[in-house]
Amino acid sequence: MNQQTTPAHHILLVDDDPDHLALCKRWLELEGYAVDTAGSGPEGLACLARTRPDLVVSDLIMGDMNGLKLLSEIHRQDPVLPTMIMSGKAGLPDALQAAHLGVSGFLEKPFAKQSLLDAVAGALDDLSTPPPLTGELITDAGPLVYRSALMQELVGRVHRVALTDSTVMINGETGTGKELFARAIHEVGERRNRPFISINCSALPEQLLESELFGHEKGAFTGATARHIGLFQAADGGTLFLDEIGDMPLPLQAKVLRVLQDFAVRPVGGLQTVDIDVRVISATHQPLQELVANKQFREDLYYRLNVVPLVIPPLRDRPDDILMLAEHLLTVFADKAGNVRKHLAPDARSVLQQARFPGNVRQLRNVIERCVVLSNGPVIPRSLVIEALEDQTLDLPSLDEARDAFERRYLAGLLRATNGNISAAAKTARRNRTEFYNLLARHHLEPGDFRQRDE
Amino acid sequence: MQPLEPFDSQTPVVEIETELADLLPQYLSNRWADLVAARELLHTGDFTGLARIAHKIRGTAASYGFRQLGDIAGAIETAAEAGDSERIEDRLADYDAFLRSVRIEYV
Repeated sequence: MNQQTTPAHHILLVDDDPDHLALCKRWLELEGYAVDTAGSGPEGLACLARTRPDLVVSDLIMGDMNGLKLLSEIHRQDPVLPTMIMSGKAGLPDALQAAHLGVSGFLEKPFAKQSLLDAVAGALDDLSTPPPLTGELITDAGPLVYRSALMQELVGRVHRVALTDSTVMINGETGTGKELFARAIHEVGERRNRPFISINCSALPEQLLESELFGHEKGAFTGATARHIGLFQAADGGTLFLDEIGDMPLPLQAKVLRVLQDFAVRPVGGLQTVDIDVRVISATHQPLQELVANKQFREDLYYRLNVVPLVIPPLRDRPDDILMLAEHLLTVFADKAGNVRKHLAPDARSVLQQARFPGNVRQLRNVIERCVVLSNGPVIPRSLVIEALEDQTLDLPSLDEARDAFERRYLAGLLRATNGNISAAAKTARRNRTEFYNLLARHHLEPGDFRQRDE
Repeated sequence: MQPLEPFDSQTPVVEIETELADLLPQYLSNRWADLVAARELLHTGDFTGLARIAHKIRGTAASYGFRQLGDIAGAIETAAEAGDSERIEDRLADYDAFLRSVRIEYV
């Protein structure tokens, strides 16, 4: 028996075979674990509502709720709770689905005591591997630099989720570094030596995006002059990062859903499906649940992709990170240019720390780069930081918003110039009176408000 | 599945860890209950139910230490999946004989 000096890890065992449940419980308790048991999926969920174990070990095939359904329910509530499946009859699709649900281990029945103990110890070891608390998580695309408690917690989740094959959805405002996090998950995990492929779903028209993702056979459509391997296939064994997934057209969503169900792709114009083993990480800055409610995004795909949600906090919610990031960026820009590293004046630091940064880390990067380029001496003054912050135009309105604002300003100016004379204003704008009235109505402008009254 | 050697009811001696001793009475009692249920399912021709029971026994027996019982259960599962009543009958007889004659030594 293993004499444990630390508090016992708590394990929840779920199996509808009472003899197997009793046996595994005994083995684990003799090893010093605290064990709760449940004879069914719903009983397991009820148990989880009362207490949070360190690991859930569940049978795969159970009467009322199979193990995979149970684990997907568990991960909906607690995305990083480690789980293991036991089964005497798991087919490959079950095993793959289990892997993508973030299962830490798969035990084939019947198993010996030592196999169970080794698997459990392995899953709990992963859990106890401490992520770096502050500092940098290095990725190929650059380091994640952080100090705040919010980011420490998030990086801890990145480490835990990286050890599984769970499908991950990253949500965060523009400029928060969603792709950097996706890369971090890839590079910390077992797939690090396989491809990481990223595609922005909003950047391509539907047919091109389909062909990029699934590939096509020669002659599949006009212009398909050669066979093309799709990104799902190209990322085999690795990770596919689907950025801006909220912009994916609905017909393509159905096809991606099928890939995530079958782990196989069929190239456009092809007859054969090709098995793939890809971890999918998606990201969006949009409120995907609202898109689901408005029928712009498939609910079933949403749940498939959102097995483990990661939300990246905006920079304004983690002011502790601003200066650390700024210092890191000053080093990066100095190294890049081969120049002496510049420093922020103390009052420039406080200006940075209090800024709102609607464009998040990307905006901070732009501000620091500009300050480095424009500062004459080795110290960046407060005034330069303020100027750089004010000049950032990341809060640009959309084209429609800009057009509306211009139209309203134009019409108001026209009415002022013509003293509210509709005929003259319409003539200048080269619109007929009816059209001009409609334009004014759309912007809630009253010609009478622009007429100067005779005193 | 490999064909089983003819079951020799004279020799089933099974070594079980002492730490499991108090679980054994319930375990063996449940296996007798399974035998009754399996015979009933064979009688009604419910091969799916039979395969399910046999699968459950196979998954647990070897872990407790009853490797031979697990093999017999595996053979019942295979025969049930093939809908082979005669083979199921034979293997259930082996199962019955095993339970009657097994001798447990705690180690």
